[in-house]
Amino acid sequence: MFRLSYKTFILVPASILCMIVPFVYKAGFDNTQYFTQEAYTLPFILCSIALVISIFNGRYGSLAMFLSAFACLLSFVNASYLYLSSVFFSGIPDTLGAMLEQIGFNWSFCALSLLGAMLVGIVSMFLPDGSSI
Amino acid sequence: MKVVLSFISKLLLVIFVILYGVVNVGGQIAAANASVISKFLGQDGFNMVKDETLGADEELDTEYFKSEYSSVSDLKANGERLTQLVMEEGAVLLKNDNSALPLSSTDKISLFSASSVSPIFSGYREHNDKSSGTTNLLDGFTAAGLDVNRELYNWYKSSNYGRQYINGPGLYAIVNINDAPWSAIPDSAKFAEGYNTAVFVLSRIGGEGTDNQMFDNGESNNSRGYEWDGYNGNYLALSEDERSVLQGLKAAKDAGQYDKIIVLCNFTNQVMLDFVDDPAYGVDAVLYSGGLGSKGSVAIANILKGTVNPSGKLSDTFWKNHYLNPVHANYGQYKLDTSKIGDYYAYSSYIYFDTNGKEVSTSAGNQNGYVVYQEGIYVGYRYTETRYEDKVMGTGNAGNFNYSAAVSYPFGYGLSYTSFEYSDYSVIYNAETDSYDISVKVKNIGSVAGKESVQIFLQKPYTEYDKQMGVEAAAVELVAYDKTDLLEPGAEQTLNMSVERRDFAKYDSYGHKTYILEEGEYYLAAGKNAHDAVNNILAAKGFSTADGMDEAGNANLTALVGFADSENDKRITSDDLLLYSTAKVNVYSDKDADGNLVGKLITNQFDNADPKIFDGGVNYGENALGGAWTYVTRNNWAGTVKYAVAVDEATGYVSSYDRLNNFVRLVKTDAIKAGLDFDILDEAASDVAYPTFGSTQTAWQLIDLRVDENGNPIAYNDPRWDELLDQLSWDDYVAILAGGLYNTPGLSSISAPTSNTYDSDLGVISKYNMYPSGLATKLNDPDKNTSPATYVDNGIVAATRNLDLIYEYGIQWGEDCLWAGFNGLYGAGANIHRSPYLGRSYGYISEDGFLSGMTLAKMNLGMETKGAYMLAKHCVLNEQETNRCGAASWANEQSIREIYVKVFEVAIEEGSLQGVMTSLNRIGTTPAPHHTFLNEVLRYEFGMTGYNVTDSGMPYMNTANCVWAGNDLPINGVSHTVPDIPETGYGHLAQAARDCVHNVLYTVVNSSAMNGFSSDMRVVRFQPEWEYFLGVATDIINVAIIPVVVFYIAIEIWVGIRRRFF
Repeated sequence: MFRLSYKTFILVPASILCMIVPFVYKAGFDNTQYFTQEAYTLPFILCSIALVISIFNGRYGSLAMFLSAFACLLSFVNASYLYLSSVFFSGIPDTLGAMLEQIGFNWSFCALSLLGAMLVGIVSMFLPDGSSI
Repeated sequence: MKVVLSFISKLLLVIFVILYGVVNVGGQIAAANASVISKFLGQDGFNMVKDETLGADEELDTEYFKSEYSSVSDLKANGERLTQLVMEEGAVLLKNDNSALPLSSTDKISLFSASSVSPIFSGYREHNDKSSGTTNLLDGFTAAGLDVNRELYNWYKSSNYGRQYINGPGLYAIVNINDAPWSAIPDSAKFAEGYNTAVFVLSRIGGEGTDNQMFDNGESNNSRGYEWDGYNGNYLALSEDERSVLQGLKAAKDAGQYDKIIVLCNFTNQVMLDFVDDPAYGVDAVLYSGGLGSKGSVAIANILKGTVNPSGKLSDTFWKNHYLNPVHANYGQYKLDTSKIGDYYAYSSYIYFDTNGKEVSTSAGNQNGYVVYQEGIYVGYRYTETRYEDKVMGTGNAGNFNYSAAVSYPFGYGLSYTSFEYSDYSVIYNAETDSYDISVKVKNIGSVAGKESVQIFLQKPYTEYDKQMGVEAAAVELVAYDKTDLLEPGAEQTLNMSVERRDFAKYDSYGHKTYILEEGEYYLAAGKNAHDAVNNILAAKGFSTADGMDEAGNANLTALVGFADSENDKRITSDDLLLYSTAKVNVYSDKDADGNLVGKLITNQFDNADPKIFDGGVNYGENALGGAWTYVTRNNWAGTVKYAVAVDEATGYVSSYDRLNNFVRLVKTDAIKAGLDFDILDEAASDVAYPTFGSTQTAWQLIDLRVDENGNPIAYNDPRWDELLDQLSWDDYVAILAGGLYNTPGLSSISAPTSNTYDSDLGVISKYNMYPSGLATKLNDPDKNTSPATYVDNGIVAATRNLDLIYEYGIQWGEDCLWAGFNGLYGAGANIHRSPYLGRSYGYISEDGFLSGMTLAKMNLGMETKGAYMLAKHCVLNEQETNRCGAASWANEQSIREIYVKVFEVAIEEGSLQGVMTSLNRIGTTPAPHHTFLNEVLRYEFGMTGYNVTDSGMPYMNTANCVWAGNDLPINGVSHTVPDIPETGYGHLAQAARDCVHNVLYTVVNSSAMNGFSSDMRVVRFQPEWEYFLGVATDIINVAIIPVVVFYIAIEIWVGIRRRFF
């Protein structure tokens, strides 16, 4: 029934990370124009599905992770891109660290987590499946 | 084979899924911001085409606004000429001991300081080093025939000394002075043979986004190892290195190696001038230039040589000691923010407290910063001169105040190489105009030709009622000025000016809540500066130097009006108390029962910005956090004036540079929170009728509403405007309201062209080839890739006090717009120089609202002749750059109206200023797109008819709120999603949107955007190229992804089968 592989141990933490994202998003952007229910709820739904698939099947869990994280990332960016416009209105700092600091933890965490999960999914797709546990 | 196919299928899937997501979601974002993208790509999506069937008059000249020039080079040459002319009339001679100036023909110059090779041309940090067409000091001086020490100049040029921009010259910059100490300058250079005159160039620069630094807050060394080398972190004090050079020059002068030490004040933010009369530095002459602009160096050379006689008058008080300026007890640079910007610390505004006295969070959407203008109306000379007068008169608990410890040169000050005598001063009431006609004869009693500006100051009485009700009255206010022609020695000229009687009224914030004209003694005094005028009034009151005046006054240059004994006066009585409580008649005026037009009733509009009133005054008085506080009052100076540090009022001695907690501490109450969260869409529905949409009763095109059949401009309130607006659809509204970014969007339904705007405090800075509609591009001018002249600081423009010259300057700005293809300008600057540390001082004009307003008025009238509209900025209470976004400015209504809004009042009423750019701060709890301010005050009271644009929008603004507020055009950063308002209950918002569209179109039709437009021209919408290509790419990817997915699935199935069965 379960086809746990080493991929599962990569994908499950990525899925959980994605499910933390909505909490951080809500903490930072609730009651602002950058908060939408779609961007908030989508990670719960999609990443739960990815998590379940990852547990049952590492091979297709990778694809599910990639698609889920990417969809969540697009939804998040669509909801909050104007936030960057306000943050960088006064100019863009010359170092990445300064830039991230200016963007703030909440936005950076959400974007980087979803991007990271998406990359984990992609890389995982190309890794050999290995044996089931 | 299996592995390869599997890899390829996965790769294709990943690529196409990413592309699919990007083009579809990105396409949505692009569509929502289409106008912004089109603008940046130069594809506005509109074409003007001729409809041959309409058969318009072929003879009609459609170049409604014409240029006086035939080429860019001619235009630029005139711009550069004007920068020289303005500097020659605007540079202010502050000190000239022993007739050090003008120089003799044998004097030779050594230029000192690193800034001598890199002076300030434009006060705008980011632009300064890219300034166009500038002449440096060496070339300017040499061209004027002055001999400059090149060895010294070249040494500075090759050295590593000079301004350093920490974090670049941009919006978060902090500037390091980094001048060469005296010891580092080679003897051969600083003591070059024959160079007997030292000119020390003292430069400071400002910029957008960051105020200059007054305190180091213990951060004298940051992680990059820079030092703030202003004294004790004070950028507007001499650095130790600069002091060493001046001291070295003094020693050299004592040793006979130099004859004269001249300081050229090339700063846009005023440096404390405590050193100019200090014997340790031996300064002989001081000349203030501000930013030089293109040819200011030549003008300065001409003044030094004496071929031009200086005639500028200061637009600000020049402080000897900024620590004695009470504004700084409540100026933005207070708290070391915990959020760093890169490696650099930024200074925030004050942060609201909770009821336990603990600061609330610094984040939360720009909702927690604030500043209180506790000084009230007492800004700049209104403070120094009023407290001085009270000190002399022994009134107002003036305490240990010592004028000479605080002020180096008063507002309006400026020397000449000749002397002028004022006589025959006359003030006569003119009943027909309800104003006082003033004349004064000016005679040149010196030996060289020169010009003189006469400034008229008004003193209003400070009554018992005022003391009880918190109404304040400055000792003097500038109310009129004029300048003579060039007067030869012995020549004289009579200047005639006028002051409206309604200017005598004071704003009563708490009693009558409108303007009041009280019974009492009013003085109109001529003065060479504000201090001179006060002394003249004091003399008229019978005071003398024996009473503590620092100079005797001339009572003959004052007129006592509003008093029974004065001649030709209309006596002011208690019946006049509310005489000017209605606005002047304008296009918004209503008719009374008799059919006469009456101005709008004036009453408080800023109660939500005054802690004394807002939320029941819980942040004011006995229950306020940190104890009771009051606005500064001349009824009790010593008890209400606060300073930023421990400073001795009598001597100016600072015993500790540690910042005192003298700022007003505000609690973020529930009422403040509710005010911050206001959203018009949350408000109750109204029964206001919706406007008419899509009417076919008329078929006006915008061009039809430019002029009537007799060629007269069609008025803002002409009924034809209603008919044209009725024709529009809601989609037309949305197209206008969602599309403003450096332009007003075109509209094909009424053939409204796009108008282009440029964003700058100091005229056009871009190249002349910005738009195809510009003459430079149309004529394919060989110099179209060049930029206009670099214009001088706006404070210097005002310092000329020459209204004709300022008008000519405005025409030049309009010409630049015409040639570059701009139809309007987001500028000039209109905020008040509340503090010298204000980053954008270069673009703003003065500490005085009337002087700023008159300057803007004349500039705008000049620009209008070329069809360029001015949107003065930034409206309002925006006297801070650092952390300006969202910070709440709190002030009382009298100071708002008499100081900060005065600029716009004068510019609109005297110069038909068409619009403003709002600021990023809040007015009290309300964002600067402020409903009552923009509508009730700027429009209904002052009569403004053009459109208002937001500065870059912020999270606390949205399109609906901007529209409701009368901030007609939200620009970038504001969500451009115009809400689909329900079909019932939101008529008030729909009507507000209609007003916004009206304001935009009225501005456009009166601008050069209509050039080339006749009644047979039509505006046709087309799809911009980027939209087309994005659409095609989306279609391709949406189709292509299907076989990719099928391929992936097929391969997966195939692989699965092979796994299972083989």
